[in-house]
Amino acid sequence: MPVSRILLVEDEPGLLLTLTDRLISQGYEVASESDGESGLARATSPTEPFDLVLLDVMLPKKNGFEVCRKMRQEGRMTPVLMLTAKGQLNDKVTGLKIGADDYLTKPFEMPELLARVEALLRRAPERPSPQVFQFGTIRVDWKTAAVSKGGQPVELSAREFQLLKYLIDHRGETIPREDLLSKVWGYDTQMNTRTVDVHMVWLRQKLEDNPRYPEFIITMRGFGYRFGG
Amino acid sequence: MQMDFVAGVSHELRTPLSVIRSAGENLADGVVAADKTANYGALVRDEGRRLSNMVEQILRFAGVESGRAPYTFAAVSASKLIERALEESRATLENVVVEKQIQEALPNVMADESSISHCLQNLLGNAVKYGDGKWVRVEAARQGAFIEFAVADRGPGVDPAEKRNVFNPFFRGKKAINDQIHGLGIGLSLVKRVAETHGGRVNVRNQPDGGARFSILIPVEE
Repeated sequence: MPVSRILLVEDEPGLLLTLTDRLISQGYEVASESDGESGLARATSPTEPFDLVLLDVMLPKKNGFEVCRKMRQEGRMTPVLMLTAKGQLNDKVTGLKIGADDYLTKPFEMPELLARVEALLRRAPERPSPQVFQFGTIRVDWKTAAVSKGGQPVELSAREFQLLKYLIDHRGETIPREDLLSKVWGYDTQMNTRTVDVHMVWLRQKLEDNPRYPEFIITMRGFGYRFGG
Repeated sequence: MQMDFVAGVSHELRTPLSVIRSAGENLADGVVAADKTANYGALVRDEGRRLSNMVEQILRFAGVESGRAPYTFAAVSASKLIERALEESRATLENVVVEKQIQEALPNVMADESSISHCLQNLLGNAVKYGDGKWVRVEAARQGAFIEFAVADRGPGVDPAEKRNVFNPFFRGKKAINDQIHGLGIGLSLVKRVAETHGGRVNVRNQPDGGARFSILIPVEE
C-alpha cells in the first residue's frame, strides 16, 4: 500500500515542526503550508493528491473554514481534520457543517490526534489518481499514456510505461527486482531479474538527462530500484 | 466582560501550550532526531517564555481592573524608566534598531517604576509586532506638567476608524486579526489604566510617514 500523504496547514512554526516530525515518525509523508491561500492551492492541486488535510482554523490570508469550504466546492473530497485553539461549540458546528470530517481542539493529546488521523485515513476513499504526473521536465499523462521530456514526446514501449507507472506509484520505496518482475511482467513469468535491469537501462536512456548518473531511477545496490522523482 | 476575557485569552494561552505539549510528547516518545533536540529545547523555552509573559500580563490586568494593584510612587528619572523597559524587552528587541530621542535635563516623574516600565515594554512590544519589526523610536520629552514617553514604529499605523477603540480592553484591530498576529487585547488598556492611576493619560497618532506613535504622559515630580 502506498504511504499516506498528509497536507498540514498550520501557521504556528512550533506546531508545524512538532506535528511534522510526529507524522513522519508514524510513516506518513508530510507536506506543509503556513497560510490559508497556499494551503488551498496545495490541497486542490491537480498534480499532487493528498489522503488527508490537517487544517488549522485561524490562518493568515484565508481561514481554515474558507479553505475547507472552497475545497468542497471544487469537488475535493479529501478528508479534513480541523485543528483549532477555539473550543467553542459554534466553531465545531461550523467546521463540520462546511464539510470538515473531524475536529480537534488545541491543546490536544498526540495519541488522540494520531488516532483520529488513522481513523479518517481508514475511512478515506482511494485517492483519485491525477491525470498528469510530473517530475523534472518529464510529464506523464496517465489517460493517454503520453510521455514527454522538456516538451518533446518520448516513445515508451507498453512494458516501459507499465514499469514507469509502477515506480511512480511506489515512489520513495525501494522495490526489489523480484517484485518488479512479478508485478509488471506477471507472476508466471519465465524471465529473470536481468530483464528488469535491461528495461531500467532503456528507461533511463529515454528519461534521464545523464543515464550514467540517474536522478530519478535509482539503483539500490543489492536490493532493487527506487524512484526519486 | 468576563466572557470576552475568557474567549480572548483562552485562545492565546492554548497556542503555546499546544506547542510545549507536543514538543514534550515528541521528546518523551523518542521521535526527535539527536541533531534536533537543541531546536526542541529552544522551542519549549521560547513558548514557555511567551506563556509566562501572558500570565504576567493577565495578572497585572486583573490587578488593575480590580483596583487592587499595589503601587509604590517615588521620584524616578525618565531615562531610568526607559533603560529598564529596554533591558526587560531585550529578547523582543533582539534584531531591532532602537533610536532614542530623550530630552536633556528632564525632571523626575512620580511613578511606580515597575508599572510604568512595564507599560513601556508593552508599547515596545506592540511597535515591534505591528510595526516593520526592524525599527522603533523611544522618546521622552516634557509636555507642560507631564513627561511624555512615546514609542514610534514604521508599520502601517493605526486605522483611523479604530483609533478610539485601541485602548479598550480586548479590542483587537481588524488587520491584526486577519494577519493572525497574536495578542491578548489587554496591553493598551492596561497602559491606559496605569497612566490614569498616575494622574496621567495616553495618546495615539499616526506619524506623517505612516507609522504609529503611542505615548503615555506622566506628571512630573512637584
